Amino acid sequence: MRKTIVFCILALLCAVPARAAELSIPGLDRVWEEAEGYGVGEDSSLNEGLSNLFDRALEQLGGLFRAGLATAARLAAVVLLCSLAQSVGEGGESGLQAVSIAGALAITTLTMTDMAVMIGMGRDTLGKMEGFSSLLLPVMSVLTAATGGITGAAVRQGATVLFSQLLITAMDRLLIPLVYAYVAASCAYAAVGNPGLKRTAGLLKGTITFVLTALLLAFVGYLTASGAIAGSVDAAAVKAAKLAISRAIPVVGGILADASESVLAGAGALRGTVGAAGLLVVLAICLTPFLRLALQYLLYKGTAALCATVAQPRLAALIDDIGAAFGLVLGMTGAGALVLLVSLVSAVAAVAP
Amino acid sequence: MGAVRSWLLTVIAASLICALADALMPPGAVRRVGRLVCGLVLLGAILTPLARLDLSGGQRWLEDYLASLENREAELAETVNEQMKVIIEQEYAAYIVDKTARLGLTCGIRVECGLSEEGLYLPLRVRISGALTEGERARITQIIREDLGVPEQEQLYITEEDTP
Repeated sequence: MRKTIVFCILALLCAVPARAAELSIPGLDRVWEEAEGYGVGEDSSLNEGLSNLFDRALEQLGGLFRAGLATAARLAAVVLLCSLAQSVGEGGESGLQAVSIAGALAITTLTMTDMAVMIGMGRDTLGKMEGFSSLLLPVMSVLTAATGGITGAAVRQGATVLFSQLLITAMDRLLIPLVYAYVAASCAYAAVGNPGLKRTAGLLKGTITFVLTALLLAFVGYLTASGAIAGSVDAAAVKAAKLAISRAIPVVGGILADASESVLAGAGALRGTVGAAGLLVVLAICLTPFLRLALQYLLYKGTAALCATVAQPRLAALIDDIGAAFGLVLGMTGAGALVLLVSLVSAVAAVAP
Repeated sequence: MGAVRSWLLTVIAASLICALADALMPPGAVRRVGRLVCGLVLLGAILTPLARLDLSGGQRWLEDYLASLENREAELAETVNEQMKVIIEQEYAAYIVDKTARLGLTCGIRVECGLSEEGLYLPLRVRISGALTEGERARITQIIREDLGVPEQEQLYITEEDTP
């Protein structure tokens, strides 16, 4: 009987920290609901989720490749026809230009639908990621703040939202118009052969790459620097709190220390689970668009390489440039995903001060 | 962002016009002078935005961003503190329940905490409910005063008749 009473008291004492760790996080239920929509559950581990994503990628790969191959075959047919027309033509300078102009226009017309679809898909993917991050980031911030990193959590959320919005605004107002201008300049160069147009296309491509690289570098740099500063501020606050606890009445100090420890452990564990689910959802959002864009990029580059052996170099270069435009859209979408992934990883990896 | 796009489009338009002019110009001195003029036009198109640069807009934006960070920090601190307060109140109550149980007493405890100057949640008031004798109340009062530092006047005893 005595053993039973002692056991009951010990069980009650053990239950206190466990109950204390049960934080009520505003918005957590909505994050799980949204994650369920992408096939990511509360009990999904990171490895299991990545394995599922890999299986889904393999399932989609065949269909997407066949769809892309049809466009590549049409492009190759246009280039071969142009090559044939050029070889049977009179051979004059004007005849050559007409074939080039017709070929460039045909290639651009064939690829413009793909281009519009891919750009729309990239923009949609960024929109979906922004929607999910608006649910996930506040939850991650509260969980990080519960582990003692209040300043770090606020800085991380602020920086991620700021750079995500900056990227979406840049994409809408600057980068997508520049991609279209890049394709137009490449098409004009393929048609008339003016080297200035080739340089202009190069400038546009370089500008897009520079803007994306600068944004990502600025984000990572700002996150690292502000995270380090915020970490020291949080560490000082925690140290002051620990000092104050040590000065309190022993029983009160003990209860406060136990409560803080249990909250920290509970929030830390939950932060890891939510962070892993967030990573999986971001990857699930990106999976299909990334596969489609990457396949288009590779198919266009492959077609350009094959056509360069039989056709005039300017038309092959146009196909290559359009492939590079898909690569730029892939880069924009990837940059959006990277901002979110880096932020999540840094939140999960943040050490409690 | 709109300004950057407009600047880039101006540079592209200028370079296209220069390329066209270069193609139309007759060779010789005219072409050399024409190329010089085209270079100056391109330089002008590239450098024009520098003259219209507005740094005050960027400063305002930075101030807004920093203010939003401070607000978010305050929100997070409030959210976490609210949660912590509830948890700590439960911990204090559990401690008293445990102590009274060891004395063989059964009672309900509610603890109200307040934030001290040092940022700690300290117990301010305790409500004890249950059928307790004067002697039992005195023992509980002593425990709460000595262990948790809650003065006698902040300990409220409620009998079952008092509870609504």
